[in-house]
Amino acid sequence: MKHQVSLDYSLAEGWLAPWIEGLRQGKAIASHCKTCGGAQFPPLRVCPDCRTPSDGWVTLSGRAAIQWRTTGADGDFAVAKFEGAHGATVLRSAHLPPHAAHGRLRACAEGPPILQLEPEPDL
Amino acid sequence: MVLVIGAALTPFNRRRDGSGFRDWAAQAFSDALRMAGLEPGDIDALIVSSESDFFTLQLNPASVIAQDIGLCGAETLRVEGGGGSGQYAVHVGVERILSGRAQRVAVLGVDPSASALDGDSIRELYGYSFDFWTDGLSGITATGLYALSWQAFAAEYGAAGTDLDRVATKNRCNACENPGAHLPRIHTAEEFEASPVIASPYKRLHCSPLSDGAAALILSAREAAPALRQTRAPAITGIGAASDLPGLGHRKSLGRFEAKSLAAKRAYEMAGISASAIDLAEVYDAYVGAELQAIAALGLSADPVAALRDGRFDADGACPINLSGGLIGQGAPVGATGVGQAATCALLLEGRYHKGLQPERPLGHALADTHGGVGTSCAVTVLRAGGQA
Repeated sequence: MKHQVSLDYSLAEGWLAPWIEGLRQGKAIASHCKTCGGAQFPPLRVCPDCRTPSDGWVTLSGRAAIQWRTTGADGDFAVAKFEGAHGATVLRSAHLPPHAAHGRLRACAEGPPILQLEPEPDL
Repeated sequence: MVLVIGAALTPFNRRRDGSGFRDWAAQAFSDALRMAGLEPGDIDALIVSSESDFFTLQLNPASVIAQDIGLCGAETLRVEGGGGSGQYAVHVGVERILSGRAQRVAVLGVDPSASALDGDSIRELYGYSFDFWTDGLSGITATGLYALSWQAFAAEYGAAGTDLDRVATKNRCNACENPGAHLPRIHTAEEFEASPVIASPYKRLHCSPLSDGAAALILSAREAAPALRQTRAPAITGIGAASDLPGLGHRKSLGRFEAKSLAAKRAYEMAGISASAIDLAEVYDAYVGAELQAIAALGLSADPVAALRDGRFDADGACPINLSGGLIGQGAPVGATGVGQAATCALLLEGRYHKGLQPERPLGHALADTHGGVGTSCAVTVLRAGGQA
């Protein structure tokens, strides 16, 4: 028996709205812990070290150092640590050269927000 | 004291015979109930594990399964914890008995992970196993996340690509002796070399298959078990669970399953044993590298890479891992996986497992380990052979 379900979600961004808007603009918006001063990117509502609720947002430089990469049929992805962030994040790395050590957060004004890196501009 | 008086698994594979998840659930329950020597009316509660309504297309699946297997009137509950759903369901069943709310509990895991939807749809659904709003916004797949975590582990423990092949070979060789296994295979080096890369370093042969199937346990308080089962049935002596941050990058260690270590510590403490008492284990090998990450986290070896190369985890080794074939060889109908692991451990401890895989030496303790996410929601169960104080 064949059966088809089509779903069209409208997802409220809630407390993550600044983070989502940052991805659209190519700005690395991190949550800030008032106790330890750490910045989490991606944001965390509660600091994992202090267990203190975050008290706002800080904007990071958007530059990230690549730690690990994976490529294959499923796409190109990396773990990277953004300057000023406490931890690292998983993101798409398809726009980066294979051996790039750094990248910048890439804006995605069109379509859904995507967490991805692009090459750093030539200095 | 909670005894496993009944345990059964259907074959794990891709069904092409027109049967559905309700058929498999009924079969697993019927087989486990027969082993227990009970009737449906003897069961106080049914705990169902199913990872996703999108697989079964059935909200509240416990109600329709209870109807199918003659348990209307019993308490029914569905448990979900991603890939760990089945082991969490076992824990809920154990807690029902320890709390005194039930005397005999059926735990039933089922999912049509292979036949209901095409592979791409299932992989997309699995993508929602991770934090949709952070890692999920990268579009990464489960294979990609596991590949990144494995690389960090491999760098720390000195593992090589051939170790991935070695785990796949071990588990699929074990599966050759398991008539219910999805992928009984003996791979050649050339096949590994030619296998397409899904997310480096993981190739297709390093990934578990999507499977259909069901597994069931009948748990009982010792005093409520049939007399013959009271003396022979293994007991669940320890359960432990713990969680980690879903985002890999937020963790202190990208490659270590720290929540699994905490879950195991809690299970060992409840059982009153240390990891050295474990004679065999069924661990969560959704990807071959995750098996070694699990072995390290569970404390089953301080150097799992060297131990793998020495054969410690082989079927005839000192501590066989995934005699069933694991997810890699036996298959992975998600909701059934954790229940099936516990059932496998119970059957092995009682000497009832498949002839070619049943160890000849006496067994004391076995461990079942399952997780959701990439080691995010971890559940560990310790079982002890029957006839021991």
